[in-house]
Amino acid sequence: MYISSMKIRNWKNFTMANIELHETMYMIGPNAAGKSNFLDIFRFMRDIVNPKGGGLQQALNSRGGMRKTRSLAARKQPQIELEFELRESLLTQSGHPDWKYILWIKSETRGKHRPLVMKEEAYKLGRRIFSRPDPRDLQDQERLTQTHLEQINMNADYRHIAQFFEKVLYLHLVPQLLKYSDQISLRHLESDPFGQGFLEEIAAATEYIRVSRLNKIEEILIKVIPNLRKLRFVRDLVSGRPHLEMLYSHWRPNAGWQREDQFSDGTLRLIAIIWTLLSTNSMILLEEPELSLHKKVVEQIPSLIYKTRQSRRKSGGQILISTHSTDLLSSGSFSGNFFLLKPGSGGEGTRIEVPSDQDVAAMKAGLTPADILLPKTSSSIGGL
Amino acid sequence: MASRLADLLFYAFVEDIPSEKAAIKLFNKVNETREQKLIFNPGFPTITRGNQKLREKCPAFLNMARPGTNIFALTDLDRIECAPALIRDWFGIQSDKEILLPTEICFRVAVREVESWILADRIALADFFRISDINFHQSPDNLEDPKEHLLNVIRRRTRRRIYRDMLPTEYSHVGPTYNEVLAEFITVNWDPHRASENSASLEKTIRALENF
Repeated sequence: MYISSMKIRNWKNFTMANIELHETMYMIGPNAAGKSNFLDIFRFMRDIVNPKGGGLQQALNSRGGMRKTRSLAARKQPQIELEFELRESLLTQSGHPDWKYILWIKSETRGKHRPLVMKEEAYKLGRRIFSRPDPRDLQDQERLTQTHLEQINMNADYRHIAQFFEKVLYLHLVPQLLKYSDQISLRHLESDPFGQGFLEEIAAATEYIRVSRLNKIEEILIKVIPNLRKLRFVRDLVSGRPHLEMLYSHWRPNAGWQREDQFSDGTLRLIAIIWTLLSTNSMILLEEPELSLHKKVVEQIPSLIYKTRQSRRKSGGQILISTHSTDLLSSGSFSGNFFLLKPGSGGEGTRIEVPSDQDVAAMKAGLTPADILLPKTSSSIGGL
Repeated sequence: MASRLADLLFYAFVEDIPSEKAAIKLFNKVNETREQKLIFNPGFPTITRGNQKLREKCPAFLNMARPGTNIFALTDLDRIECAPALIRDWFGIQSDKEILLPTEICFRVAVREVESWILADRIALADFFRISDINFHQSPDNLEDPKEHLLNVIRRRTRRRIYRDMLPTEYSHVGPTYNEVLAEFITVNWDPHRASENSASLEKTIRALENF
């Protein structure tokens, strides 16, 4: 399933946005334009439906409450509004979507100022399944502290929506957290976005799947990492901990399997990106995949994403990528669409724009997104 | 009732920061007398850093030029023999054919570098650096390496720290304040019309923009 369109009001630095989404979306914008805040909408929805202690209250608490989540530029309307249309196929945007979900959240006016559901609706093929607040909500305000979506006994008729958000995967691997996980004892975040649990994730796959995915990763790594010969998964004989090992060709033929703490940052990130692309057919949020990678590799990320996803047995899945990289956007053969994030002037929220018809024609004529789109997002950046 | 013509929007590509500032200044100057204004698309001109990157885009310029989609490009001639030779080479026009680019493309070549356009206003330049204008070459279009000439004058005649730091160090062809100082000069002091009297390539560019 895919999200085909969205409406956003007063979410962090977005006061208002109505957007259409495609299978692969690249988000371009200057620093602090709100790329991560945009991706956070999907993580927020995932936190709401998370079966391990999620929920509306928890999702907002972990973001610092309503005050930190609601747009500072919001004036008239105090509520956060999110609306999603979901479709089984993105081939057509016309007609009723398979599913539609609306959630408005406001702050309790007195007492603890808890976030409350102001409006919640779900539709299947244009037909409304439920609408809140309903008469029982009006009798018992406590009910408004939870969404129906997060409750298994309430969401039976539209569980597809909850399942979609539950599976959203956010990847922003910080290699140091993986390399030094023994030495820095950090709380593992619920959904493990920074890669501390990446090795456990590999270990949890069945052997057949693991071998097949690691083979594909090895095939790609050999092309981009000089002298690399093999990549394998092992368990430490003493501690039982999972590890990745790589072998390089050098003058000592029988020595030199290196473990992940000796891998370069770029190698680790690349492994994590490819593993993620191969492992899921749900929505993936990919934050700056170009980090620590050589220009030549970065240039190939768009085709890596495309090819890797073609090679999976299961198809489908949407992917949202945030990037600043000229090299990534210089690829001549793009499969994907673009959002341009433009910070508002004079205290307005960030605007989300799509390339103009002229821009599209220029890219069709042979210029790259880096030539045409990146300059558009840099107009608000001054020289030092 | 006379309705004003819609502005002409440009995708613009230049090689470096001085060229970018010169392009902006030229558009502004030309717009003073034009009814239909020439406007850069937001975020443009974009700096390609080097002429190879600009050259690669030329085939795309030909494909994308159409009414409503205008392209401005400014490059340095550098060591190439003459501007027509560069255009033939970059756009793949054979030597027996006439050079005929789509009217939406304004492709300009500075002979030999944009620095010669800057040097061409030697009165403003001398004033800016507080030195005599006889230090600067009279017809900068004839200079083999205008940037070198400019740097030599700065090296010999200026003492202020900010100008000294324009000079190249071991690993760079210009110093750390080169672009910054030149950008400031172009934006504030440089007079394209006065300069065009000493530079044929600049004069042609201004005329092309006036008649676009």
